[in-house]
Amino acid sequence: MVPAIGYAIREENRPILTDPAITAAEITFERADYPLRVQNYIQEMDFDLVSVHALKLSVASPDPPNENYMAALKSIAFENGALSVSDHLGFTRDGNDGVEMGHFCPPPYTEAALSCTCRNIEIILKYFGDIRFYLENIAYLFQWDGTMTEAEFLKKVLAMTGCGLLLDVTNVYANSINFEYDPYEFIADVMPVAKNVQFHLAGGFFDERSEMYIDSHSHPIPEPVWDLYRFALEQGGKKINAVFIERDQNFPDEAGWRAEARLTREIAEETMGAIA
Amino acid sequence: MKNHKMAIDEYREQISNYAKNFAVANTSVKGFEKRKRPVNPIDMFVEGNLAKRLWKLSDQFVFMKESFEDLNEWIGEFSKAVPLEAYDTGSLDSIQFLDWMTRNKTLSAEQFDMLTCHRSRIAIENFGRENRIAHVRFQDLLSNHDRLKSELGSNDSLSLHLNPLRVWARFQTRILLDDEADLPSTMIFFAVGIDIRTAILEPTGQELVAELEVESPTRLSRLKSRLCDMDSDELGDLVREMSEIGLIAFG
Repeated sequence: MVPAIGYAIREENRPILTDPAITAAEITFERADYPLRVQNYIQEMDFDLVSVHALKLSVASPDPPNENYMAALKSIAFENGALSVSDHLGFTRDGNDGVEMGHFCPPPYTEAALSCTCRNIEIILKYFGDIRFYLENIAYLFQWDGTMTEAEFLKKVLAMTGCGLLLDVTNVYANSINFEYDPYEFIADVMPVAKNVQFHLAGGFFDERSEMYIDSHSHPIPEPVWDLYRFALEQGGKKINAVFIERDQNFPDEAGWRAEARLTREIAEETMGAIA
Repeated sequence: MKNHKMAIDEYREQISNYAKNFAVANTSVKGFEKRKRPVNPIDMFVEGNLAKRLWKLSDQFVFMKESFEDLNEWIGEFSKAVPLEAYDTGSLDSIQFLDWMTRNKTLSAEQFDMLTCHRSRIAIENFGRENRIAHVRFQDLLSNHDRLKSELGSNDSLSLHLNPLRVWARFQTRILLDDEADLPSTMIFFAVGIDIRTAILEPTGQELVAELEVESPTRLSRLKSRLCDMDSDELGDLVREMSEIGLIAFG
């Protein structure tokens, strides 16, 4: 079965969300959480699958996420009929009364971080009940000294908590360039452990100054990411229920928005057809 | 082998050290895996976060730029002195910045009024967060305005609802007011849909709002008996005017 396919909703892509290739939508919680909003965020549109993507659950923090934040997230999920919520494998703050860094940082891949992360995800899973939680692998600029690799850490979290995997294909690609590993091996290694899977696709750029690939969501999805996407579809098969494309800068024109969604669907149809 | 509690305590300390330093753009942390890079990736991470914070603050305070010559410098100074609070939604950082300016800068009366204006807008948003259902219900009632306003002269059982998202603010200068406005002037801020509107009410309008603050919703007939200084027509006109701007809705 072909996964539901759609965009992370931005005001710039709202006009094309009725395209037949689009059957899913991802709501970025921080955008939907405007307190004076009267209408629901998806504006009564009909999708097969809606997911709410959060930025501040900070699953690798030493403290569990606070209930007010989770309640606000759940409320947006209910209002928009979301079947899932997701957030990143990282931390954005220290403790609940502490400070916010502004963006997520990878945890040190250690047993202590694993213990806190799994405890926090178990709390999240319990809180959200039927709304499934998916954990996203992040693109990082540096790694802390640790005792295991990112893939080992991620596999342990998935196995110990049973949460879903939001595999950001572009993040795997970016990290594989920046930290010199085989992205295909990473996906083949992690995918069998995940019970339910969603994908993110996006395009960034290679920054000559830092000699790193930057996951900026500012460019079309590059060819190597499309190839990796095909491979990830083969590996995940029926476990994959949604694919979301993210774009935050240098927005394409209407044809550009539609073309990327259609290609995402075509590749999924081809690949899933071949698997069947 | 370390016991579990010790390991978690050490982890807490480690994360706290990273977060507290990064939150104020301090990059002198240790413990990251070093690779040969032309640019320190910790610097890139922190610079990126700081730029995002500066952009958000600058965007939220854009309407104040003309009255604050050094606003961008102040935002920069503040961002390095005061970290973002956990779970910041944007408004927390704005409030911290407003408080920081009040404490650390010498402000003119005009600048102080600009701060009061921004504080009032944030207060409306925060009330919205706390009273979302009341806001949505009131906005729904507002959509009946055209249908019910014609009943104003004839239907005393109409009930009047006061906008639940409102805040009063007092201004000492005319920087945000008409040239003829009395000083000091009291302004009411209130939410209509996703917009925040303002109005300066005459004493009779202030009296009406004060009555509705005691009891809302209130039937028009009951209001007439309580505001006996106003005749029926005067009250009707006032109610109509306030419903048209979105401060009162009919039910």
